[in-house]
Amino acid sequence: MKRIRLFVFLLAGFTVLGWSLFNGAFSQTVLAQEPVPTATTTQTEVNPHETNDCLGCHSNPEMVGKFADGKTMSLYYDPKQHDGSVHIEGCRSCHDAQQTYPHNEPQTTSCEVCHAQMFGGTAQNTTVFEITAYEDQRAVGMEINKSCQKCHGEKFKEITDSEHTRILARGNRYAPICVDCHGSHNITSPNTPRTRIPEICSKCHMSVYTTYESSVHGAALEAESNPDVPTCENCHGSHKVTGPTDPNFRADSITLCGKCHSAKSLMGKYGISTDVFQTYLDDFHGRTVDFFRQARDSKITKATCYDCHGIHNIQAPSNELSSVYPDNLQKTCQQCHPDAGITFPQAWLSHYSPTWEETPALYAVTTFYKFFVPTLIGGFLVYIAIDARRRIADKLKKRSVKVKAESETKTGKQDEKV
Amino acid sequence: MKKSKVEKAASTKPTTIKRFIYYRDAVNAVKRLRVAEDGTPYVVRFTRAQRIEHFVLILSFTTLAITGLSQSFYMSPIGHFILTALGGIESTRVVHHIAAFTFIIQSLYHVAVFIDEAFVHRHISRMFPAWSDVTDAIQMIKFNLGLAKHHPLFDRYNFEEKAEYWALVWGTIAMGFTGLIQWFPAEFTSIFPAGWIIPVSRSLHRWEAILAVLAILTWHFYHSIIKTLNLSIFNGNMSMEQMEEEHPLELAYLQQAAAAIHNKLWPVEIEIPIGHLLEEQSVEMEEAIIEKNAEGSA
Repeated sequence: MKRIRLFVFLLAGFTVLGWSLFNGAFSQTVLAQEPVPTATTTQTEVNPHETNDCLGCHSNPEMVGKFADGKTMSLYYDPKQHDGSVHIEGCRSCHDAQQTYPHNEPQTTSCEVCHAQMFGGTAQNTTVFEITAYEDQRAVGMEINKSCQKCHGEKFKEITDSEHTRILARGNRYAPICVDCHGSHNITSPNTPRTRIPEICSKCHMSVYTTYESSVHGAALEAESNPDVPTCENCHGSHKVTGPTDPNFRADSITLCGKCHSAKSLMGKYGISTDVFQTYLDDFHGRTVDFFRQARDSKITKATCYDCHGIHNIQAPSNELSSVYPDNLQKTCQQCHPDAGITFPQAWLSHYSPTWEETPALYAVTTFYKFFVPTLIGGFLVYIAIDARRRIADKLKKRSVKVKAESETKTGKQDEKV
Repeated sequence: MKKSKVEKAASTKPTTIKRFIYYRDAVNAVKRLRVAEDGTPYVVRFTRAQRIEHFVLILSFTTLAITGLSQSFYMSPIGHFILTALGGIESTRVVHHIAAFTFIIQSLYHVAVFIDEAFVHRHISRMFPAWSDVTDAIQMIKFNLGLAKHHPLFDRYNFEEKAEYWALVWGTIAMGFTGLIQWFPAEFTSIFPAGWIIPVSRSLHRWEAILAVLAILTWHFYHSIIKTLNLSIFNGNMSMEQMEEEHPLELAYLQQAAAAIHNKLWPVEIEIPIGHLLEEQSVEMEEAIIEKNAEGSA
């Protein structure tokens, strides 16, 4: 009886083993149809544990990891995720900690965990794996994120000076890391199309995004995918992200706006004046801000471009919503000049150089002095030159007369002696 | 022919100038004609208050010019250096405002002194321009060019000094108002019904500053330092030689006014002889003509 029982037991065991092998082979054949380089037909009948075939396990959609706090994360990988990605490397190029199986040594994963029935258990194959090496899914992501450095070292240098990195360093683990903006398996060029950029940022900065979308810049980007308007990264940078918390951001912002708004090639298309930056610098505000910018002094309180024109909500001055629309100007000025009256905004020449038609008084004063100063000072110099010439001539004449007189008396004395 | 013309010119010229003076003027003249310990006579040209006023003016004007122009030309290396040395553009403005306040107070003091002199002491400053200044200027240029044979005789203030003074008066008014408008833009635009006064003020303030500094560097420095070093504004005194040279009419007046001190009835009309001054010149003229005639005959 003992022999029979042993035989039946072994037969059952082999049946289970054979079925599972067949099952595995079948699933691998299906996967082999997918364009995944790691899944080849030669590996289909081999133990996934030995060939390091990640998909052997991770192709199971039900596979989840369970953290100590009970929260779970999917461990399923769909090769379709990689379609169109700029990366064609295998899993292990990024998943450094999972180079060997079982993962996360020295913890040993018992065979029974997956193959319970093989060991006489009645339970179904488990799809839930306890993860003890990481506290949560974010920790896993942050660990894998380090792998980007292997190829993109220069970008890592850039992000060390990023506001996002500083937030991370202060302990906010949800500050963006590479994968948050670029994606993980589905990495594609972040600026194709260009509208993707604000969408990526909107994942965290939703309210700014909606404001930006309605601005003159954002609307043009959304509507016509305009290549000239700035997206988030044009002002805030991509890897070296800066914002108003950066001490120099405020002062530097004037060159940020000025760079595009003084470029004829960009502004000409839209009929926007390119004098705006220079006239700003010629004025009280611009002069002060520019000095602070050059001195790298962050304690700047005078108005920059965005103080009047708005930041993410910037509109064309002809738009009623614009803070520099004529009817809204007084209110805008009152932000800094609380006593500003209705005529106060007229003090501002709307960035235009003075003309006779627009500002006759200013044009007259400027033109008058332009001619008066050189004329008067020139007249002074001419007068001085004439006066000095006469004085020098008189002095020389006096001297020569004196010399003459002296020589005459000398010769006279000599004559007397003779 | 020429000689007769000279004679005619000399004969038509008055040999004296008549002027009414009060007792106060005579006292003032006596006070101003002094003799040094070693016996050399000299004239007091400026009072201590006037000298202090000028010193304050130098300090405030220079400070305003340096702090103002460095703001205007903040992009230039010198401007940038000055602004940085003064602790940035904001603190430079504070210095500029302090100097401006001093300048304005000093200007108001000057006006107060004028009013006091004119309405309390009944003494009108001789700084007011007269037609003679125009003729003096023309004659001076003619003389310098060799077209006139004698240079004009100057009174208390010559036309060069008057031009300097009135340019400063205009500059102070222009700079003061345009500066205050920029200092208190909101307040001024609420009084003035037009906002363009601010950009106009800014432009005018900048141009006027350049003009003022250039005028001081050229006109004032030439006449008071280069031409003849005139330190009377610092030490208050002027030597007799320099008085005879630069202000002969004033010297003649002072001598006559001082001589009239013992008069009993005031005001009195004094006669200031200028004949001897003109005579010297006419002698020079005659010599020159003779010289020229000799050249022509030779």
